[in-house]
Amino acid sequence: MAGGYWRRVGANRTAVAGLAVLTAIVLLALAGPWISQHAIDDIFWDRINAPPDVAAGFYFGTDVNGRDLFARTLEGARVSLMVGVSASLISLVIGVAWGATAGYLGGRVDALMMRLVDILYSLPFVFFVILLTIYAGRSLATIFVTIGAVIWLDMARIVRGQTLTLKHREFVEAARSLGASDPRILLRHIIPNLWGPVIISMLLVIPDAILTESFLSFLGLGVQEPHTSWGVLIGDGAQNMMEAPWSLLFPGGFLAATLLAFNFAGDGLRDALDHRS
Amino acid sequence: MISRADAMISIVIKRVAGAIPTLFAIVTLTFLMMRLTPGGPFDRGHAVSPEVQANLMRAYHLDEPLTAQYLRYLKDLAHGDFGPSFTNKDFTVTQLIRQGFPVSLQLGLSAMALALVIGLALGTYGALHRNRPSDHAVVAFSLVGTIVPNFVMAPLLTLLFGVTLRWLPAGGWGDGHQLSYKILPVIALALPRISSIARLSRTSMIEALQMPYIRTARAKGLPRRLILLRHASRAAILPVVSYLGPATAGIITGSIIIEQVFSIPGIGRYFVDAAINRDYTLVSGVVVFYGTIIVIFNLIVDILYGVLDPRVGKR
Amino acid sequence: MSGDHQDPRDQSEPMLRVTSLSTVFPSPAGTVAAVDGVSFSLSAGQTLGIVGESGSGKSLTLYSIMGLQPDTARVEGSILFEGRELLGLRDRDLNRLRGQRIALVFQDPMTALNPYLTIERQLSEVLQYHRGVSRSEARAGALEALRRVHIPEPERQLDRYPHQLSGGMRQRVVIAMAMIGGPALLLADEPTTALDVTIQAEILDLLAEQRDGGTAILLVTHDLGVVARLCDRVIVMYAGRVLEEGDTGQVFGRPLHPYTEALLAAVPRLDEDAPPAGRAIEGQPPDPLALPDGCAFWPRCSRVMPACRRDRPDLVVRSDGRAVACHAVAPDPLASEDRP
Repeated sequence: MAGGYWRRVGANRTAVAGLAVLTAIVLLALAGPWISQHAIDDIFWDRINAPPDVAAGFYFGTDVNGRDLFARTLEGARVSLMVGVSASLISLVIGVAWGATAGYLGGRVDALMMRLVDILYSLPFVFFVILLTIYAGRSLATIFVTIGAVIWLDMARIVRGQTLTLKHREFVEAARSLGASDPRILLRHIIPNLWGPVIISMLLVIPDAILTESFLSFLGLGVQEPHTSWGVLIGDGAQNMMEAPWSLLFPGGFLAATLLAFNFAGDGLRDALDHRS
Repeated sequence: MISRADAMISIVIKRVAGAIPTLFAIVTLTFLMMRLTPGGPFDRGHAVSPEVQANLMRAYHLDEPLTAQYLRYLKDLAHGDFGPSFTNKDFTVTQLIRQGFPVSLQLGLSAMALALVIGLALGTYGALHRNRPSDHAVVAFSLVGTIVPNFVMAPLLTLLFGVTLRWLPAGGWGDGHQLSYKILPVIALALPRISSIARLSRTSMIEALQMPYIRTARAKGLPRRLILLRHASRAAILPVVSYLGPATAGIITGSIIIEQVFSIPGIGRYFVDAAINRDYTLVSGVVVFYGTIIVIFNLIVDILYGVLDPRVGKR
Repeated sequence: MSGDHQDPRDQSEPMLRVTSLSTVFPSPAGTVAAVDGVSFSLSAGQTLGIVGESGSGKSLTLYSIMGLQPDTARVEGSILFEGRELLGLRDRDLNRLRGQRIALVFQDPMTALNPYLTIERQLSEVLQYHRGVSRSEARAGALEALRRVHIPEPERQLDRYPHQLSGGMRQRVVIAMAMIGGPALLLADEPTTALDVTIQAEILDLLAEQRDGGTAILLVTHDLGVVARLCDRVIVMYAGRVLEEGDTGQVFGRPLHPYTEALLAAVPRLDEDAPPAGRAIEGQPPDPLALPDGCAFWPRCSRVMPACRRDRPDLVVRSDGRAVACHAVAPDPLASEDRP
């Protein structure tokens, strides 16, 4: 029962706290352009590396170029969250297609498809992301496509497991006995019933994508100026931390809080769902 | 009844056979990315005449059919030849890797050793003081350590110990023999692994201590210390052993960040510079090199697991 | 009766005397006594069986004697072993007795042995730790212990791991492990439950051999047949308390307590004058968190009386040495002729 599910989530205090923090960060990111007192690329020559000054609207201080860090941190939030969500949507498409097909067909096809997943799993995938971004160029689009292209493995595993259990349920057997074709059964009966575990694994895959993006951007291999992201800001902040530690602390704190919140929310929702089945 | 030695040999053979496809996947994926991306290495950012282009293509064998190129690539790799560096004209990729590897290896192995010692100690301590404040502290520490990424933690540590407190150098590698330069980078690199190992070993130790055979050992009148070291430790350490594979990958990935943050002259720095400068052969070479190391390490871990768990590979 | 001892009780003092043993767990609704005022005694070479359904507290009684109850439990009463009080003993002192004077055989030989250590290691460590013997002496001792439990090719078994042995072999190893220190008292928790019927018989013979060698055995089981074959005396437990105690022959031949009767009736029998099929006892064992007032068994009892719902019957010792806790059992007919 859905009601029971949400009641159990509610009973899990860390999950609620995680979801609350996530909601707050998403709202802040969306409201960024309206609540920031300054534009992300306005340069204030008289305020290079200035500490936070609430009265003047520089809530998080300024960076080495005299730009408002509050505006830039929220812009970074928008980009990081967008990369996270887009990349995990791509991984969702690949992972669901791959996992559902493998699980549904079973037998040798399944063994072969999952063996490939195992092999890819043991590869140092961040390196392949870097390799891909070199060849494909460093636009935002290539970043989330490449990240999505390498983090679908978890999704494929989860979806396959779920498909195996769905495969022998009455409504699937019924559809088969009525002569429905395999692709039709997959699309109409299996995939629509995968949403529960898939949503939870999204909560685990999104932070993974955000982390990978931040990793690349920190090294200067990801999001490029004039765009920014938490990784870019943390990278700049780390270079500049002796003069302006706040330029490291704010974006770093936001990233850490987001990852923690995803972790809590994901664990809580998974517990609640495990309880149900 | 197969003897234990025979069983071990067959495990080793099976694992080696299992590692080969992974190695091939790494090499092939890298090769395909290098050769099949539209444009090719000389197109972007370089304005060269068609003749120069053709000469370059010939010099790097890019004019041959793909299969011939692939076979040549495999043959060169088998000889440890990763080809020339595209941007450092005077060095081959092999030379650059050989230069950076000792530093990276030292950094990585020290971090791994530290992570094992501290992680196991913390995890065991937590398990033995379960649900007491000190155990909660271990759990909270390992949660934060697992989730806060390296590239946030490393600068923070530098800020605290290198800049504010001035206890340790904030960067550099010294002359390679000065311990003070190594402390911060090794700790920063080890921290996420310490956390994961503490978390894993705490859980597995709690589970192991609840096994009926631990009660048997207590009924035999063995002291607590012996029960812990001989009877519980084996089951508790196995999940940590399985984790050593992913931990290696994590340390290699992390070392790229750490070498960058602390300006350490290891492979990671070459790799990032090469990636920024689009040095295709160097980047591919490092990917294949590190991929191979990870595969080999996973192989060792698998075999170690077989040694520690007598039930692996039973008929 | 006439000895060197000044106090004649000294000579008749049994090896193990358990008095008012209670094992108590904290719970949200106050404490719960999973073992509640159990008393019995056992002399050298004797075998005492404790029977009851699961949850009756019979296994916990066993573990409490050895100080192996769960960490959250508190044990009260008195456990005198060879004249020494075990309750309140420090772990270090208890460890001198465990494996040496008192040993334990567990229910499931699959999980009671450490899967990561060889049979030799698990046997010889008892000798090495308690007696400080060398590795080779310990190996010889381990070999001897395996021979005593009739394990075929004992030399070969020493170097094997538990998963390489059959269930019956494993249980022999567990018994060898318990007997290797030469204990005076052997505690056995459902030693045959996890085994095939034919192997059960072999293990029972093996336990009988140990008894004949002078070891006292305290055996916990739900299998009345095992008790009938092996035990001199028997205790019937229900909801943590003793309902009946006596010589095995008497108790099984002429049960006094309705619960004992029901237990016996539930055993499938082969002899012809018994009912054709065993029937299970009706109802469920009580929830230890919500025991009924009065006798814990009354909701399932066939001879329930008004007093049963009100007062909990005490265990009364009869003149014939039997004891029973039941309002419905007639007062001891010989009581007037006997000392109290």
